[in-house]
Amino acid sequence: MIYGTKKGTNRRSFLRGVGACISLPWLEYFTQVAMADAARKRVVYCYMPNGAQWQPATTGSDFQLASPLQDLAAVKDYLTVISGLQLGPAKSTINGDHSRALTAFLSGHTPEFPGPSVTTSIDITLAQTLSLGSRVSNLCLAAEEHANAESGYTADYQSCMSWLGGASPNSRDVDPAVVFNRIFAAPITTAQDGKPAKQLDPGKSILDAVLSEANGLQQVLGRTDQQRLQEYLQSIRDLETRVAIAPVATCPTGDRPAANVSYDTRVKLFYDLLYHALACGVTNVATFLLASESTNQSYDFIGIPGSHHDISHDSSREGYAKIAKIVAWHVGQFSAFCQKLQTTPEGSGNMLDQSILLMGGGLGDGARHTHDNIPVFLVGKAGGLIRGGQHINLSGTPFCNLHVAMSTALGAPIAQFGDSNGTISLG
Amino acid sequence: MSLVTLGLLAVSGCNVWSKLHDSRRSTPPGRPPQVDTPPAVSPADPINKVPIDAEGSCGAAAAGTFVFDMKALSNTEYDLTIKDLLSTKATASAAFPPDATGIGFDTGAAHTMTTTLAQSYFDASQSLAAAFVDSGKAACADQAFATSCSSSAVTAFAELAFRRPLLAGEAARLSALPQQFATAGMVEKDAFTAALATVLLAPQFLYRSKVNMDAGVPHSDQYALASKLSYALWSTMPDATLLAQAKAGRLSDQEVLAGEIDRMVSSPKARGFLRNFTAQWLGIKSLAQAPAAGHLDAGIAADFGEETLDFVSEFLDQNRNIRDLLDARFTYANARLAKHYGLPEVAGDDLMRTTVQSDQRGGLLTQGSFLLSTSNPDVTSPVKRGKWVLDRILCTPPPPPPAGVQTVLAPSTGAALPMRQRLATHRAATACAGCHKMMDPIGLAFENYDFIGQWRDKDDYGPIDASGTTMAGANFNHAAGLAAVLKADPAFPRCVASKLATYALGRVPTEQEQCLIKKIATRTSDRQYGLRNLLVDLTRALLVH
Repeated sequence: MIYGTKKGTNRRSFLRGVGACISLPWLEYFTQVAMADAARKRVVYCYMPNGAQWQPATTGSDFQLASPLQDLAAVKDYLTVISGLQLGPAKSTINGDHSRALTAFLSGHTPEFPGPSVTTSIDITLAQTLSLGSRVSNLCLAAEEHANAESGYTADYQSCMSWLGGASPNSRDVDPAVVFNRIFAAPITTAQDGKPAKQLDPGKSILDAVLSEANGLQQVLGRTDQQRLQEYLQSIRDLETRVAIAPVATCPTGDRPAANVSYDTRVKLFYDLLYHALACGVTNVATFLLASESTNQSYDFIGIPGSHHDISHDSSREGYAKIAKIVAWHVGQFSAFCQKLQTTPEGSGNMLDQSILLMGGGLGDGARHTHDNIPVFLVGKAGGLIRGGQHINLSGTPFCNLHVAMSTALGAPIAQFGDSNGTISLG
Repeated sequence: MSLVTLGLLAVSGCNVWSKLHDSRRSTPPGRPPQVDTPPAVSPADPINKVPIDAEGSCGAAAAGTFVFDMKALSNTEYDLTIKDLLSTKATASAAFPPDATGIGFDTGAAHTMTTTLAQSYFDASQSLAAAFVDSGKAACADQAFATSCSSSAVTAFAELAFRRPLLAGEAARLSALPQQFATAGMVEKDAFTAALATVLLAPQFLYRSKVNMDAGVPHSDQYALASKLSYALWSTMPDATLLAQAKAGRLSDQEVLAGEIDRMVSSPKARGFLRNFTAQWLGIKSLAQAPAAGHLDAGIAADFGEETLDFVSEFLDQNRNIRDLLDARFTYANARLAKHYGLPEVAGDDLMRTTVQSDQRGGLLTQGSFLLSTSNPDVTSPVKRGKWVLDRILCTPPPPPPAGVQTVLAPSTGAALPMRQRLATHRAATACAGCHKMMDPIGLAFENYDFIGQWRDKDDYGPIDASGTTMAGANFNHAAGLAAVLKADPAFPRCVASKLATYALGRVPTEQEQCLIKKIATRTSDRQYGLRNLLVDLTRALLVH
């Protein structure tokens, strides 16, 4: 029942390191999987903090890529740039624009002050349909663990874009090695002797027994504690369903990523893991926070030292040029990820044909903390329901209209979400 | 003499300050603070029997305030509990999602159960149980795991893990597990291991909860209190002594309870709590990832953190005056660190207590942890240093810059202005002046320390001017001079008390609790500001009802 540990399977023969290119067994494998499950749709949300501006000069299908988007040329047929969207729930008269930008992005609501409290985010809702038969409901990845607390708001608002509702942020994964274990169920290593501890087979028996204990406890708890226990019961029941889903025994996984890698390597590792998780059908829904909102991350590896957030408030020409370079680097990593899906066959086409990969952020001009004309683009055709290869300008339209449009394209339609007042035609 | 009386807080345009000013004006002046308490080692004072709020002026707790909420263990609590329960050094939480941040301390995070977290617990419970059984530390190891032995071993284990006696239903279900699993086809050893794994995944272990009084556990409220105290003061499960007191129903006896609190605060286990608290209070958990850490030789960033943790721990161990945190004439250093700081030679990699003789070093604000974590990648940031002091030492964080203002200093190239002058242009803008007049003079007092915390007499522009003037016109010079001003400010002990209380409660204190905290901080001045005294008073006033 464990990925990559089936006897006789040598994972190293498939991939040398997570960053390796696709080798022949992958193609064979994916052709098999693709034939079996051609209609699978998937969605990934990648969030760019501190603002980005990448609006092409003209609309329609004959548009030139603005400079931060140059690296998307290889997937331009699958690209939909949508300008003019506004993130209304992030606006307020009080400080805290970064916190609200990130938290409202997928929840569509203004988070409560000081929090944490906000409504369920769209990824969680979509996972209920899209990941129904997957071993993992959704992945919530963050390339940076630390987040600042802003203006009295909880720091959770700058570190998490996926929310279960109420006071409950989704669990984030910040370590590629941990994600590897999670999605490929590799044995957990204990720190005691450095050797992998033995995995027990009887997981289902344990989960059954634990549910009995939880039901017993429910009888004797006070009313206020019942809700916490419900969360627990729901998670354990969900886990029980998912561990029972048989993995594809021969799915190649790559090697376990190294620990303590630099930020740029971590971003690349997360994209690779994300790719493997989607390609193996481990999950169909993921969020990836490229760095915490108002991050002080340094981009000295591309010649831009200093705090990203400080630079985003440099409203000189040089300041905006630096931000454009940082954004372009991230777009480049995102594009490499898209191209991997594009070169992976599925059904009669490739994985991008069935996917929507969104990249965007809740701040347009980082220096001015604007939530009008936020940066958003999509890559993928969602089974042909998105045309691709165009730039749409919808000045003043709620960003949540896009959530509505995407939910329809993904086959899990939601009529209204957040401050949406309609939908967007992507066909 | 304090920042308050100097009128520093009356600055308009920095709303936090004016608000604070108003709230403090209503506070009657207390005894003058004892500035020069000798660093004598004093044992913890005997428990002060006078209630904190004898006159009841803080009002009664709002209804529902003290409901014991069911709480999941934080990652640190999980690891320390597992360490006590299984006698292992395994740190399973390395594979867990990080705790949410919530109120700024991991004790207060939402700890939502998600499928992701449940899977982490599921994996950990199995590998930890297997390692425990393989290590031979579990009962029954030498009896081939016969179900007759397993049965009672599982219930005994569960009673420890659940931190209370088992309910009748629990005992019946858990004792049947080894047999049940064996019948399902597991060999006896695996069945025993799976039963232990079940206990480690049960909500009774993963959450701290209080079962209803009528559920059949005598003194169930006392077991809940024992857990509350041990997680607040030790970040781990109650020990055998504390559980025995709960079992005997003796924690309702105020003398016994006071004795237990004193024992807990004096125990080496309280060091674990204090280190975890300090690292979060001062924000020094990941110094190796600080922007300027790349300029340091291997290991020094980590040494900075250990230095501060050892330094603060001594205040608990020896009940030292917390105000001396700002100017104590000692620190902890190893060979690397002593060389880095220019202190007299120290041998080896282990941090040793070291006396400091000059004004260049002494106190938290001259330590690398603070100086490094507040620096930009290749230059100091007086603004960040000033903000850090206001936020973490005085509990009065300034608001962030308003949207649309230029927060990047004019580049140092071209204009070639010294830091002090570049900051002055900053303060000239009306939108910025209110707060920067507070932050900048504080930060500039540390300009003798470069971005990796080394002393310098001059920078690229010439000799360092680390002098400053408070808003009311009092002059100070260098970090040592500023430390004396901060040390005299009653806001400092109040801030430490408030941070400790927030950590121990796992939530933002209510208004009534804040009133109590203020009283405790004031009373602490009569108790020589001893850290242990402070912790005992806070525990008695806020955690025990």
